[in-house]
Amino acid sequence: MIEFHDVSKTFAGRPAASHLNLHFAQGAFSVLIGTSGSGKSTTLKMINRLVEHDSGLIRFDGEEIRSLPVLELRRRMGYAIQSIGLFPHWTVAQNIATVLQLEKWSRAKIADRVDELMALLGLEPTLRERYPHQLSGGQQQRVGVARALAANPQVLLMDEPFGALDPVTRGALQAEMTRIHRILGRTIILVTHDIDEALRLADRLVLMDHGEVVQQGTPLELLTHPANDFVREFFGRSELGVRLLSLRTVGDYMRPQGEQASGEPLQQQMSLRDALSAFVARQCEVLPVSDAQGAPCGTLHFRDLLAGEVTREVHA
Amino acid sequence: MPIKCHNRVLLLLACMAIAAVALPFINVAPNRLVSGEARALWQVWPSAPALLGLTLAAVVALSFWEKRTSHWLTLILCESLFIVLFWSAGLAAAQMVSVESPLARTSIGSGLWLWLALCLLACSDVIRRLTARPVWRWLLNAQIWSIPLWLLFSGELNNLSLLKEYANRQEVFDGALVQHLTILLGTLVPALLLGVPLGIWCYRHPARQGSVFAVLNVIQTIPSVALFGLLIAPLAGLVKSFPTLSSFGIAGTGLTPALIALVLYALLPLVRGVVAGLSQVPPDVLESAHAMGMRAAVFLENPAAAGAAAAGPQPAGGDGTNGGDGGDSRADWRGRLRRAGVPGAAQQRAGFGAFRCRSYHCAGGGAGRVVCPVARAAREKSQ
Repeated sequence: MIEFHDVSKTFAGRPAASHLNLHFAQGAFSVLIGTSGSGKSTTLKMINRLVEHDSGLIRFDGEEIRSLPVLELRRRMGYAIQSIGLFPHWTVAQNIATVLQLEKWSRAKIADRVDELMALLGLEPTLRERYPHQLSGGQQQRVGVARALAANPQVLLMDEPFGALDPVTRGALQAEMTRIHRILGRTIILVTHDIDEALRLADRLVLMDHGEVVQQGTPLELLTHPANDFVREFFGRSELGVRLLSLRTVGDYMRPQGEQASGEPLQQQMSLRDALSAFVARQCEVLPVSDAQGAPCGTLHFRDLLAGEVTREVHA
Repeated sequence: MPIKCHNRVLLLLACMAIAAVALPFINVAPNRLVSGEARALWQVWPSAPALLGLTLAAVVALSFWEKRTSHWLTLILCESLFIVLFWSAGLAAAQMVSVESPLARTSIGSGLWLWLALCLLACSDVIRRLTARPVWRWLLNAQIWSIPLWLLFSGELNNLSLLKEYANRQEVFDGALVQHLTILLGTLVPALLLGVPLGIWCYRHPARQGSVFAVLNVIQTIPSVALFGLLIAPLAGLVKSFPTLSSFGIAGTGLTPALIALVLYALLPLVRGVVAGLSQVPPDVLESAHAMGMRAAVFLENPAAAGAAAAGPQPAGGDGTNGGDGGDSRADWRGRLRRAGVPGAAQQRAGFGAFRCRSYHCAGGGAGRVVCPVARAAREKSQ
């Protein structure tokens, strides 16, 4: 979908990105991760030409991005940023409809689309006529994402979209993003410095440092086969175990119906990290598991966490 | 049930109106040369104070009523009072003419002026409470004047001293008005055409701002008399080498240098306002606007988007022109943004505010004192 061929960018003599070769696959949720100043935001902004690359080639849907008119290019991409940047004098509905108005959609079509997006992002219809300053931070970012998705962009670019939110709101929005990605199947590229967020959301991770790609691959690959010490340090030696657990769900490790266990059931979609926490907190070795509808569907044994595929990978 | 005042502004205005009963309603003079004597309302119509008192009592009662209906009732009541007071001025004048003598001059007294002002304030306040939409606010405020204007043009007020004076010296008044409008528009239009693009250019090139503002600051420090003096020679020279210019009314003295001077004086506040305004647009708003594929031009063209571009100018403008709005600053801020339909013009209320003061100042002071004597001298010379 988006390919970087030997792309470089310098700011005032200092390289912000050097010799990047990347491929963001169609429909994948890719996450660019790195410390501050690693060039991840610059990389993202080169895609919609908010930052112009100095050398190399960037292709979008097979076409060189500079061969497309810049406005058309940008309107084919949604963009959400940490500071959100909602227009303060417009209502929620007007903000969401920004690109639709630029694309000259009819009034009725815009109204329908706004309703649809507000439902998708879990925004109450009553918020329609509110102004951004009347919303909470989480609601504002939901509006920001809705605005970015409005014109059915082929790609959604997100620059630390949840960085300024409190942990609870952030968690809720991350869950929303996973859901939206599943529903829409849209190509998403997200920039973050939050490792847990990256592991939670990414199909594919790109770890950057000093303007270079250190390693790219699935989250599991980066955790279990780090290319060098930087990668190992970045993901944290001490927390490696729990991070690996966070990549797996209870459903993967549960024993199907058979024995009975007491206690409040775990959700099938929960990560093993949360399950581990539950085992420790409740001081037991077996917990029942229920599916999304709340019906019991099996049990999870504490010992299975150690014996499973996950731990084998750590030793490998 | 506890009694609570829901519209304190209205209550205060009503109290002031009650106090204003003590002030003269009209001034009556036997003829236009002598100074008049004050007449209170009850001296004109003995029963009128009771009627006024009833109305004010109703207004006070409305200020304690929470419902939205009370706003509409207040608007209707205050607007009716305004119209009745306006009409009563003409009525009183007609009565004085018949009672005293045809030469008697009746002018509006301080009490009546105050009542009229208080009615308008009450209407304006209640309109602000009724709707947040700038268009509706504007329309509601404008409609107040429809009946008073009709009264004015239908001749109901012709017996007032002010209108008699106008009738006698219509040509002088009309001439002055035309001159005033010529100077105002002749300054406003070129100043906007120059100032807004210059401001946008300065905003785009911050490095150039220093030199541009240095020049504009220097212009601002030149006293108007000196500037007129400085303009005489180049303009006269220009007309001499291109005589066709004089057929357009261009000359070393008179209107041309006045307009040039006023435009130059208007540039500094205008350009400063545009730059201050544009640079107050939050960077994240600009970034997301760009990312969504808004062209700079679209950003300014799209009437609503212009609001974002005008976001900055508004607070800046607030100091100068809208400081009086006070109260619900956030809503007002938004309202002002919306009002900014045409970006260029609306952008710089700041510029406008200062600009208007300046042009009045110059038109009244500078142009009046300097241009007219100079023009008169030129006319005398040519005769």
